[in-house]
Amino acid sequence: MRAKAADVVRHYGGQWLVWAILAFLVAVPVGAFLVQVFVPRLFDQGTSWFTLSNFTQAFQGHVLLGLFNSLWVSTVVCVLDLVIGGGVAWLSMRTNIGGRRIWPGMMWGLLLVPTWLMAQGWQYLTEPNGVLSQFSLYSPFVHHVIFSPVGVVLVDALATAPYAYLTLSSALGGLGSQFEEAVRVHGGGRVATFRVVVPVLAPAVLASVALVFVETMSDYGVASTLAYQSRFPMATYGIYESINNLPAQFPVAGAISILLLASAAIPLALQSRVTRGRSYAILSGRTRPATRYRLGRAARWVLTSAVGVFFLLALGAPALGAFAGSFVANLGSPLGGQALTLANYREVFSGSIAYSHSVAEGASGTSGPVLLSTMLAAITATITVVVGLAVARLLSARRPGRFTKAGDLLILGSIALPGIVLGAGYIFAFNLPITSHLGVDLYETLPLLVMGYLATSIPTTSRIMMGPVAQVHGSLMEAARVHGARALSAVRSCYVPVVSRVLVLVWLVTLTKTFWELPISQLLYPPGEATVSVAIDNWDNNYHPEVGAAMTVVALGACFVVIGLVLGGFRLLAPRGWRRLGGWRSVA
Amino acid sequence: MATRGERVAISGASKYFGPKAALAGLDLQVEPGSFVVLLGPSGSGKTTLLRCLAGIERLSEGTIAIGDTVVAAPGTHLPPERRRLAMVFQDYALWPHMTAERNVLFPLRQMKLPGHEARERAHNMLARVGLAHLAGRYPNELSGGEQQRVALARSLVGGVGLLLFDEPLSNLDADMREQLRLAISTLARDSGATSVYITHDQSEAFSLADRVGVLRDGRLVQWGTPEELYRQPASPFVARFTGICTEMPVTRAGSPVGAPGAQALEVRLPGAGGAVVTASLPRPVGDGTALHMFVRHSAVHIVAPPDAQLMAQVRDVAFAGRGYEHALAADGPLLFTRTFCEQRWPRGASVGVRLNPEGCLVLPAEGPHLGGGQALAGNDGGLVDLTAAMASQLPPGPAS
Repeated sequence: MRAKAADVVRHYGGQWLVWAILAFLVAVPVGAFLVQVFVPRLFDQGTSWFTLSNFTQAFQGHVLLGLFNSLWVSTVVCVLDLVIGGGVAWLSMRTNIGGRRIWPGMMWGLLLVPTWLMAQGWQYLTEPNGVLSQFSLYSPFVHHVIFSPVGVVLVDALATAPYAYLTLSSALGGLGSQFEEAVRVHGGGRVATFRVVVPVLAPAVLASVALVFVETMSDYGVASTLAYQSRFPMATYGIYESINNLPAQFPVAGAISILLLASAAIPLALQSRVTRGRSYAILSGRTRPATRYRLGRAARWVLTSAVGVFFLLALGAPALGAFAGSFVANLGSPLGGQALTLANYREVFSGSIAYSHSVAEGASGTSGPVLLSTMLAAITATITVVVGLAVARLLSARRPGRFTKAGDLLILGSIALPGIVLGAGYIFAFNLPITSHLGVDLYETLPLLVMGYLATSIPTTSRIMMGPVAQVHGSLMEAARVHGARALSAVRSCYVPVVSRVLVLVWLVTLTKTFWELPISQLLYPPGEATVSVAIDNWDNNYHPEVGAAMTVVALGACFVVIGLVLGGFRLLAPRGWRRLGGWRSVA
Repeated sequence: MATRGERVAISGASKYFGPKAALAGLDLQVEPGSFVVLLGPSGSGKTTLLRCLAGIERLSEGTIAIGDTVVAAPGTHLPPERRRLAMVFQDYALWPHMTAERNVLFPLRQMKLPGHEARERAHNMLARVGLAHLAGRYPNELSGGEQQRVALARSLVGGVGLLLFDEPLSNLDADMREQLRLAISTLARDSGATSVYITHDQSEAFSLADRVGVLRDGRLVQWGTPEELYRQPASPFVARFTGICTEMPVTRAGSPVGAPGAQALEVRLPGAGGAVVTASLPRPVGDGTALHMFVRHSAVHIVAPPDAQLMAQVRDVAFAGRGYEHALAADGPLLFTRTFCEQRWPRGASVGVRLNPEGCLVLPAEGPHLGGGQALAGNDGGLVDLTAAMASQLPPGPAS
């Protein structure tokens, strides 16, 4: 019996630490933040031991409008993304459309662009005295469209299209031609083929809808930039406002968060209900690659152009907005002239202009935010890769235990958690008197900001790495141990090299995502130590978007330099055997 | 470079995965330098035992000693790297970022051998497995057979006293299996190391082993030479697992004759007017015991009707190189699969059948018929249910 108990301890012991870290990073602060909505007295947020009154506040006025707006925008974006993402997926996977080798990479690139950056690019472009007006192309109509719910929907749809693309393209890629051939040889025409194949893709379509809905509902980037500028309230910004009020209204912010999380559960529940008990397995060893439809010359040209226009709108227009806007004096201001200037870049590097207190606070030192964000992102990416690898190994264990399944649920829940809710949870939890009594004085410090970054990046990274990690057979490590290597030596010499490319790529993705992260940064950055996203947002909100645009360009440059250095360094320094394994395909 | 093989002593070994016991108090002694094969169906515990021997899994109870060192005991678990053994894995487990040469060098590097000496030994070992010319290739640039030969070289190069083989041939095609089987048999014996090899394939076990251990439900159910297992199976399970073409309930038609362990017994086959044949009785059985007869393929002969003990109809015939394998259906219903004859008998032909007593083994009946189809996976016994159904559809006529 003791031997059995010892087995259990050995088997689960290593997992405790990892799950404890995740619980500390995610479950405890967010849990406390959400629980205080119902039990405010427990956290000195009210006098009741149990109340639902906070929901009453969330169900009125501005906040209710925000929730309603978020819901309908997310629904419309789902439909649009099914058409856009599904269309690009079908064209690149099943037709001979031009540039089909480029589009998947572009989609991955688009996935890395934060929504707020895209929204701001469009703002720089279309606002009065914006970039277009510098070329005498300003159109009040375009301006009104972009700075309206239509613009919010457009930018959200462009930004979340990769999620629809990725879920649908993998399903379309795996869907061999046998289903279509079976319909055709049994007398079905094109319409019958379509009617047979579409239900086979049902799980991917539902997954796409669920993912896009959740992503749009929880998005803070567009809500805090374009939607805010357009006076179009959205739920995530409502959380921010509730916390930013004096006094902060944590119970209301918590109530909105709960409603946000509950609404995200709707499509997930729908997906689960539809697919339960049915098998949609389409991949087998016998699946033959599908044949590509040969488009006619004109159709090929038109459709290739259409996909090109999509990427132009999603990547090109915002990039142009930021780049061109960075050379304009007084961008978007009635004082703005036609003159091009480098003064905005000087400001980025010197920080000589004294604007309002909040801007100076956000941008003092002013190239500082770029360096600070690079450093924080590098620290976050490094810790994330190490912990994420451990979590991914636990999750893909050959014999998952009870703790593994519970941990997996925690990870999935954390991924679905909007960054703004996590940030709010951190402010709430680490600002409580009891936290200070316990000797945890992290509020308004950089370590807390890094913890927030880790809380968002570790769950996602762990899930991303599960695929490649599961592909590495356990026998590789066992063989190393059996042939004389100690545990750490086996990991170093026989495991890490096999997944090295994946680790590098995941490190870069985490670095990029963290570098541009907005909601957590905005809520948790220590005074005087603004990150890139906070600094740019501050410049924009304080009527100096041209400096924000210049900082965007500088930050983009810094980001590309780091990515280039890391990829180049890996290419030059890593042994040949390391470089020929894994790669982006195994992550994708 | 011959090494002194290690003695392996396993006592009361148990291993639990949750409530399930993969090993249930197993005892085993392996002599130094011998080649031992552990044979069993999936789920019998052979892989778990090998992994416990390697130190990859921890024993829940019991002890394992390799040579003079107790490597596993309550409160003791020597990690794999300190057990001085090597292992060939089912999936080769070559490190994909290392060339064949670097894979083979790995154990030598762990032993801190000087570089030039290590390289020379690795090169020599690769030459012995016929792969010196492919030393610079990465695993994915090698065929499955070549990869497994690299894995074999990696296991032999360190000159350890215990070699473990985890179904190393199971992922290879027939030709490659035979070549590699030969390489394993000769190189492992030449090395002088003790070898423990696991497989679910009886022919592989018999062709490689000095001694075979048959495992079932985490227990060792028989231990002996291949000949002993084949001629004197300890139980119907072992008889089935070591290859039969049919089995049937029989009744006594006489008394045992001969010395214990080599007795013969006349038995009556099932079915109306069942024939009486002589069979071997590997171990004594009580008078009232229900009996089952297990017939090896080699025991069934097609003969002229005057010499026949029973008549059968040819249900199927398959060309087998040196001759033909026939499926013969007889009254009972009985169906003898893979009955070899140099002459081809057409389907539907009536033929005489004679059973060689040495290949007809009478044992006490055990549990339900074919307890566990899984246990017979990959074995001819799995055919019996199907073929019995075929036999039952016999038209009246030629059968006796």
